[in-house]
Amino acid sequence: MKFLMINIGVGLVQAVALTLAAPLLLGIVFRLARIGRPGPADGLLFLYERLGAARFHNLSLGPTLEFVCVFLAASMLPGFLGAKITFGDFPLLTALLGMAALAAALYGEEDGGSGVPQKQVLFEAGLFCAALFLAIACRGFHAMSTMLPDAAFQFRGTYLTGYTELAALGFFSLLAAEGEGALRYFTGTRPEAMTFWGALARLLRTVVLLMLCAELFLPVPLPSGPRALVTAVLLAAVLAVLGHFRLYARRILLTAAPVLLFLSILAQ
Amino acid sequence: MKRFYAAPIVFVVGACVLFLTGWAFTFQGGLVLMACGLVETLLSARSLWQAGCRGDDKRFSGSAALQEAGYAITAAGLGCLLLQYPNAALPFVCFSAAALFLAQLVLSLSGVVIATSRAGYRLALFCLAGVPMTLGFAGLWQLCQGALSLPMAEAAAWVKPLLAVLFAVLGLTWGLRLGACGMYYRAVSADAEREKPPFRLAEAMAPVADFVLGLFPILLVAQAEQLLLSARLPFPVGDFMGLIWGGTGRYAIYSPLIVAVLFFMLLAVLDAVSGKRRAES
Repeated sequence: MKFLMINIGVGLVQAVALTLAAPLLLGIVFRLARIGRPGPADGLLFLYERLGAARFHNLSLGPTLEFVCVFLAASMLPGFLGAKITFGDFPLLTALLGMAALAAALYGEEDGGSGVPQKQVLFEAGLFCAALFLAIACRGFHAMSTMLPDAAFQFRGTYLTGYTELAALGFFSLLAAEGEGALRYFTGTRPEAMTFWGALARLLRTVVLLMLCAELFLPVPLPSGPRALVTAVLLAAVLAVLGHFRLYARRILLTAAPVLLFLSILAQ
Repeated sequence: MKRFYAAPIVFVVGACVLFLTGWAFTFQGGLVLMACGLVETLLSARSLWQAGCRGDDKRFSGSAALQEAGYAITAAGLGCLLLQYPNAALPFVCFSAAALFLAQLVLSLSGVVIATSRAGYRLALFCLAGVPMTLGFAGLWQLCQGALSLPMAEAAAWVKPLLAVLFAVLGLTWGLRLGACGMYYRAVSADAEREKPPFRLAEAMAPVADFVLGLFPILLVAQAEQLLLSARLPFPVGDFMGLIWGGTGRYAIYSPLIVAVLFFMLLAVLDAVSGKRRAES
């Protein structure tokens, strides 16, 4: 029991540290992604500035609840608490992220300061949840388990097959859509219109997807941290290309993700 | 209205006929039952989304009920399919998932009906959407476990694509359901003509009571499962019990039972307080 408590304590400290480092990681990604786009580029630490300027008082319940749900989902990943308690159940992870979107819709403000209509946000949240469910299910389907560590372990050595490539492509579409959405949100929204916990939840959600992508689909024999960094660089390159050629079509990416993942499951 | 529900109701009736004639308990019957459930879930998810966009109370509740029924039929079909294999414990997991979906159907819908008439629908929608710590989520989790524990080596080659379709439909319909709940709230709260009565704590507690009552079937199913399953089964009983009690296994950290009750009570109180303020202003 004492050992478990120490483990959880260390894991919590690690999770908080990673949450605090998330704006720096995504700041680097967004800085690289801004190459080739019109307008002045922001600095590496601009996300800290945005968070600092975000509204902290008089919050509605939605953003706080959203952050709690995303943090719980993040805690299942190996970089957070996941390695300490071998946690991580894919229906639970997807449901927590879905719950975060629903909490923001039910208890949050009209558009969270982003200017995006709530109808569009909810539609995209539905597609996002479906794609995420399929993404982790297609790995779990291969490993015959709903636990993330099992799915990640079974992945080793199978990445050169066609269905794995399809799955990786599908998940990366989802990640690119999420990254593009986060970039738009943080560069297009006035900081004082953002809520602190809502913005932090948005950041953490992108990091969760990034780490999931690294854990489940990146075929590099490295520890979790460096693999996440490699995925971040890949994401930045893709976002830069999308921005440079004005290929922005977030809905197309979001729609392509479940289709590719479904094809991947069928191909198995 | 009749046409709106016709196709899903035909599938429910068809599934009941399959059960009553006993054909569902064969291999082909199980497959047909599962396919019926999946088609019904898809059809009702589509109508649920439409009803959610329009803020149509009756159609929203009806479609949500039909979708839950579709999940229950799918789980029962998978259970019948698993009956053809030697491990007798696996079908029980699916049948208990079907029971959970049916309980969710009754309890969450009664919560929504009470709440929509009294303007406390946010919490009820939360329960209806099948977020973690509700019956719907527990059912979904068990259905996933049941589908993944199908002995693939003994099964025919085409069973695997069928399971792939099952996962795809589960993901899509669950995502649509979640979005539809948000859309419904948006449509209803944007309706300026609707007169909202002032919010009261007792009314906010109705969905909470619904949720807490909803926990008892899970506990009963878990106990029965514990009694029926032997220690050498492949199904991770410790995980399931951990999900309920939060005392053991991988779910220890969240202690879902305690956290869930406290969490929903807190939400109810906050909801009631914010509703009172809004009514006063």
